Amino acid sequence: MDQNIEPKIEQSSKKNIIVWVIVGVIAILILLGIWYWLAQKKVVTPVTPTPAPQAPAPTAQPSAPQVPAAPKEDSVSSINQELNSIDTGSLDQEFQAIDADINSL
Amino acid sequence: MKKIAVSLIVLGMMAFGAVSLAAPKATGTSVNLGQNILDEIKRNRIMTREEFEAKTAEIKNLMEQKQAELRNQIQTKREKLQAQIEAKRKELRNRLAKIKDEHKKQIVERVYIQVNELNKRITDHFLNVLERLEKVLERISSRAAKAEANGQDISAVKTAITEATNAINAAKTAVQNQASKVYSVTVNTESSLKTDVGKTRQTLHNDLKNVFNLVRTAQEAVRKAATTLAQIPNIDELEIPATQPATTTQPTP
Repeated sequence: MDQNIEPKIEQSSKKNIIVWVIVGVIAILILLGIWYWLAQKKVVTPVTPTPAPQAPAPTAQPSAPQVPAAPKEDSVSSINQELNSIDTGSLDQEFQAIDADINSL
Repeated sequence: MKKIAVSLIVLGMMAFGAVSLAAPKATGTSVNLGQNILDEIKRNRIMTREEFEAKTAEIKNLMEQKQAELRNQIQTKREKLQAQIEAKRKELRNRLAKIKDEHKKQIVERVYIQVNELNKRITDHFLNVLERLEKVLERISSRAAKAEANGQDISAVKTAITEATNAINAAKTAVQNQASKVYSVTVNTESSLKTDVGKTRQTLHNDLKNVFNLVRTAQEAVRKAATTLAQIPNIDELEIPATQPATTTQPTP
């Protein structure tokens, strides 16, 4: 009788091990899937380019030229353009009205 | 079979718990911000494109907030000075009583008003220039950060940015001080009116010239930073990679 029970217990513990191995593998696969999904989500997000203010209407040219994309805000050309548009002004010019009044004294 | 189902449910719940904990980390932005985006790159070596853009926007907001604060401070100071300007105008009228020529009296009073208005107008203009320079410098920092994320050596740009930041700050302080000045005209005799009023005009001119020079220095410093940035090959094509590699450059102290 005892001889019959022992192989049954052994068989049942083997089954348990197999079940846990399967569960472990499935769990790892689920975690990998979630990690991959999160990683993909980050990669796919595109950097939204600044849209061109107004695309020029196509002219009578045979091959339609591509509309040039507006330069990014932090591109060197955009930086230089902004820098060149900054005018510190002329002090002497600002004093002209005052100087005219003083000279009339 | 029952055991497998139970285990799967438990594991699934654990996995989603882990994901929900990780999610705010991926999209959240830190509250403590550096001077510019380069500081943030220095602090947070692994930054995604989204995080980079969020940080840039946050730094821009902070910069605009600081600019508004300075404007408000100057405005408050000016409102207080207005009473002082009016009081000095009355004093001037009293002193002008000894001058017989009405036309000259009017001119002197007008010059007094013009001098103080010019000071206000020019300091406002300088402040405007400095704010625009700051915005340009922020763009330079953003582009430099992208270059750094792509493994480029940006040490020269960093130095130029620091110098430009210091120059802008020095000019801002000078503008703030200049904006809080009130100019008065000393009247001695009728014959010395031109010289007396001329002295006030010259004092204002000299003061504004000093501030102007600091503003120009700041402008040149920003231009230098832009020129140094432009020397990095293919600078405009560099973007923050989807997953930024760890950079090798040493952070500046």
